[in-house]
Amino acid sequence: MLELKAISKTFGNRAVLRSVSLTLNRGQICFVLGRSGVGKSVLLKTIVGLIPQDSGEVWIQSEKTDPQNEEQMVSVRQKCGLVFQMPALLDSLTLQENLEFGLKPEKLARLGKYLDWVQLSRERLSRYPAEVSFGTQKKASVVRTLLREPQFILFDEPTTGLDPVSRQVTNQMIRNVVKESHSGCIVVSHDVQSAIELASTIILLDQGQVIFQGTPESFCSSEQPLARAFCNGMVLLDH
Amino acid sequence: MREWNQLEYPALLFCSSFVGFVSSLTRREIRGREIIKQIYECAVMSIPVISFSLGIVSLMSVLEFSWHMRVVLRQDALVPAFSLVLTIREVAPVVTAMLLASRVGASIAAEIGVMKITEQLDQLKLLAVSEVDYLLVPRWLGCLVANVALTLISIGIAGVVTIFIGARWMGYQPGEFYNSLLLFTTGYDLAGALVKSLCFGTLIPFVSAGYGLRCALGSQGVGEAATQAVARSSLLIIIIDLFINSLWWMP
Repeated sequence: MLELKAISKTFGNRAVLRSVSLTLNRGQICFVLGRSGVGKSVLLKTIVGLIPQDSGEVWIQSEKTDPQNEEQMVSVRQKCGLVFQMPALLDSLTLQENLEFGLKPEKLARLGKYLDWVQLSRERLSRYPAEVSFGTQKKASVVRTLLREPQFILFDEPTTGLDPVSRQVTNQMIRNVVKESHSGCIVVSHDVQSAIELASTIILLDQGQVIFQGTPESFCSSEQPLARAFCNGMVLLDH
Repeated sequence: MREWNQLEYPALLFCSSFVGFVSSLTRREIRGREIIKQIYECAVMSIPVISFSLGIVSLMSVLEFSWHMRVVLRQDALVPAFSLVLTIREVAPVVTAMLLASRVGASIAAEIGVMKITEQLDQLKLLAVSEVDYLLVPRWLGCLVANVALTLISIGIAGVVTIFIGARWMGYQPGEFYNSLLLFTTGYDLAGALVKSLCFGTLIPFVSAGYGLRCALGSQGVGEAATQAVARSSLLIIIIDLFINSLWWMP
């Protein structure tokens, strides 16, 4: 189980996260929705210790994490993979080398399956990131995380910048991850349609706070103005 | 957590890299291909600009020395030897390091800065790969080898230029020039030049990487990091040069 307890984070005078709590079991998908700049990505980076929280606790499989303890965070990051919003592939390596980088050779056995899941052809793996499209880079970054077979996978806007077909492929890939690997997924997104299709739980963040938490059905029927705005496919300009 | 300043941080990076290098030696996990790539990038790609610059500087120093000595002493017999001593002790190590700082230092700061803003450094952490081992150790070794090699090449080029000028315009035979050179230059001078090049070759990558690793987000931040890396490296090269001179040659 992955559990966040009252996570708060402030940058300068700006409180980005205010006492955010959530619980995720393996095999579940939690979508975190919210307008740009409300702290969704910061929340994911807090879980893997890239941005240490000011207060609150992160528990992964009954173990409390300490972002200052780099040794412990190495093991946390093995259990908990993060797919960044930008592909973050190493420029000086080919896609294949990026996938193999720091990976035990036996884990490469499932490469073919994961490439199929994201519909990425092997021929492209010999190219450098700068030589392929953003969508291909993004698919490669997803495969890189899948190959490590973490117990929890955090996706930061996985469908942003992708065409509708690739978006469907990504959604199916997330379904496969949960079904076959029984991993838990937290997906930060603006894509309400995907959230309603995939999520076990939807969390809506606004001004650093959780203003809604519930099932997709309850999200669609919520009276909360921002939730209604998201469901209606528009974001309130003046909240 | 304590904020390291712009001098402490490169020192900290150097200590981490040294430990990382020793540790990778003991584990026999030296990334030879990457180190050779860095040596190629730093040394081979810098040879044209450094050769050209050192050739011109040597030519100018011989002509200037000669003009002044003729005005004051009415003869310039020892000018080529004096000029080459100056080149070995000062010009070759310092000018080479300055040019390397502007070419390679800016490149290191910008490359690492871009890696930071595109979250590649965060990705390294997620992959449990030390950024010191992956980024700094190869660049340090590459820059170190490159700076020593380029300093020796610079001295060689300066020697050739000085002999050529001496023979073409001052009427010296290369043999005479060689004899006067032996009179003034010792192995101690060459050792001093190598010590300088080792120090500068270590300084440039760590100062530059320090700015890259701590650059502000955005393209402006990367540009600022590259500029600061060159400016700070150049300043430190001059200060360290003065320090080594006072230890090595001053009575």
